Amino acid sequence: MFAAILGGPILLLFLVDRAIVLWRGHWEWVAREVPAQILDPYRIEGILRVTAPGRRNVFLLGDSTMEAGADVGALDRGFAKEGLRFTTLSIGGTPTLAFGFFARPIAALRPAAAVLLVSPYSVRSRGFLEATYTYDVRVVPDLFTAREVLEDPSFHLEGLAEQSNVLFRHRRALQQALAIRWGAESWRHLHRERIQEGIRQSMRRSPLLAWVRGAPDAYPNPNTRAIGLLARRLRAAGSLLIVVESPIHPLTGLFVRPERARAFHETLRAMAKAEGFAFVSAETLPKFQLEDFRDQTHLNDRGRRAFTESLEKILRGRSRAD
Amino acid sequence: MRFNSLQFAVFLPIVLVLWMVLRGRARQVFLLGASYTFYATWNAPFLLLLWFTTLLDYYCGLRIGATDRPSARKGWLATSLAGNLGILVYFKYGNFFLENVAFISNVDPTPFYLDLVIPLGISFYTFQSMSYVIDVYRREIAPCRDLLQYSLFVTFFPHLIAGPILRAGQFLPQLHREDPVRQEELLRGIELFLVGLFLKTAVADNLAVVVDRVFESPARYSAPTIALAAIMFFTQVYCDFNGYSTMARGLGWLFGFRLPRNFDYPLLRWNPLLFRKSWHVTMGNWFQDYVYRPLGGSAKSDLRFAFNLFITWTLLGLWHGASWHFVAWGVSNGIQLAVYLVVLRRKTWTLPDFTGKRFCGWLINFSLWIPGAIFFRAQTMGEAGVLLKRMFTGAGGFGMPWPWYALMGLLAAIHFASFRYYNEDLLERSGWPARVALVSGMALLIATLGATGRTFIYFQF
Repeated sequence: MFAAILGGPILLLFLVDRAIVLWRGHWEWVAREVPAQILDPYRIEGILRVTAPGRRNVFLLGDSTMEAGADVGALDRGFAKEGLRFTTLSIGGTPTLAFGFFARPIAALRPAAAVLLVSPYSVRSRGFLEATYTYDVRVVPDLFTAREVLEDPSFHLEGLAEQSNVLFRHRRALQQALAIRWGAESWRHLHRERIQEGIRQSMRRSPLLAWVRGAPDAYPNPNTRAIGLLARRLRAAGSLLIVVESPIHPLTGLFVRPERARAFHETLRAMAKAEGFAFVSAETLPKFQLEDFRDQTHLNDRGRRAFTESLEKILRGRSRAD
Repeated sequence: MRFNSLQFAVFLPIVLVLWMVLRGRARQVFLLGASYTFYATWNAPFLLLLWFTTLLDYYCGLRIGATDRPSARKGWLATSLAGNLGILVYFKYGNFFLENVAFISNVDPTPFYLDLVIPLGISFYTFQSMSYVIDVYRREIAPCRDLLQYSLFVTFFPHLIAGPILRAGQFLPQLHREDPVRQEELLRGIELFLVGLFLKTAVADNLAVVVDRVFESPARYSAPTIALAAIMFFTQVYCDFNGYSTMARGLGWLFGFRLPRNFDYPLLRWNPLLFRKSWHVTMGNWFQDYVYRPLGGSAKSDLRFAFNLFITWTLLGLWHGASWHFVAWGVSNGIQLAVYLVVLRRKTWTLPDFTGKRFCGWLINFSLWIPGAIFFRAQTMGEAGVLLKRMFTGAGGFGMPWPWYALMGLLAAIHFASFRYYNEDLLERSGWPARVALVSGMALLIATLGATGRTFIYFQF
């Protein structure tokens, strides 16, 4: 009888998980309706589940700086002749590791290319797990050493649970989506809540400040390994990976010490050579000024235009090279 | 490691299975080790403090039991109380006293601040350990002569962090049990754990989202919304703490131990005395036995009776935290109770019975909680003042979406139905298909409605 008492909930949770996961209409709604920077992991799962595989796809990967910097509409228009369709897969505040966990489903869509935005902060070697909201146990051996797994078993335990069931993975997002559909909640309100929560978290622990004051980053680490994994998976799928350094606000740039920036560039260049992806450092992008940013991290409309043009040039350059 | 964490979901089955496999003393050694491991996952160095408290009170208990000389007995009791209260005052109230002394003497306290972290559960385990020494001193129980068993009494992980506060006389005899845990005990343990988990994750944590929103910026909300948020906060605290206590009791049943009930439907009680007797019962009993009765209890004049209640509740408020708003919460409770009980003692008339008499009593009682909830939730006296002012002078209108009002109504209805019909033994009463359905349904509700993990409110005490 105790087997039934234990097995009953497991079976019921499994059935509910399958029902939600296989409900295509739900994921289409998610991909279409959920705005960026609110329920990002949920939105990305929706996009990845409903996007048709094919070479017309180009994915723009990164944190909120990619969301603010890349104008997907302009890129779609710019590459209309080639028939390319751009999709931004961004998770606010996420380290690069998240895209290592997404390497399998992204490669499975066999895109023409993926552009990954990185910065010294997004490939930091400490304090990134708490900002990682995705997981895939199948790629853990590619991303983590055994020691790193043992250093934070809770992250992997929670990740396993979240991977095993959509209710654990997206419970809050599912509740909020339901409230939206019932009219008891609004995207605007959720967006405001999200910003307020971000401010509260920054006041509590200020991860950026802790990183700036901390010891230099150690490479390789799970974030840099994620880039390598993404490159290998995409190459195997016949797709191109372009890693672009994020535009940095001049004031924020002052906090990143030169030795930290140098180590970051050297690592990324060496990896690009070894893993066969293209690395575009900030030095080759336009020099972004104070007036190109809306805050200390994100580009404004003017900066967005300049960055999008740069992305277009980079993509055209790479497609000619290939 | 919280009860509502995945780490605990791994920890518990391992400990439970090994506990069932082991026998005799090895079983108790293992459970003590597991309890220390549980505590160490929060902050391992504070185990030293836990060991100190355990050893101090174990030794003091032995010494008190070994002599009949009143002065020696008093001396060992004083040693124990000084040790326990010293630790508590230093870690929990050090900076509070410093601030107040500095305020009175007009000195900047900044250079003198103690850089301290309050050890988790310190208010609970020191009170529990102290009660043992006092009981031995009063000759109500014999001193425990087994350090392993005494350590388990202090440290048993289900109650270690936030109670219920056990008495040695209740717990130590249960350690002599040899027979295996029965099926009905396991079923009751599972049921209580799931009910507690539901109260915590599905009710308290979701209410917290709204409560935090209103209390962080009261200026944005109408007076009725602030009142509703205060009611929601009261419900949140109840579900949070009762959820923890119920889970702790459930865990106790799984290991074959009976832990006392900490809440007995306080939100449905219709007078201040019943309310306070059913809210955080083990703490209330502790203060009643070790503060209120030694002060003279109710056997003195009205004034002294009221004074005893007032002092007891003021201290109970202070126990909740080193801040004047907790003291104010305790004082307001003390005054309410003193007025009610003195009037009750003196009154020569009886209110005639009428339909809805209890409901009217409940309504009066209920309206008194709301300011109390504001004092409890606010971070400072100033913030409590702002919230109260806003509640009585703010704009009208119900600024919260109607589903929240509907949800509160639904929760109240379920709670009332549970009060009338539920005896925490549904699993025992059911056949096995219904048991599977109940447990599965509950697990699904928790997985679906739960909010992301928050620490239990009472951990801060």
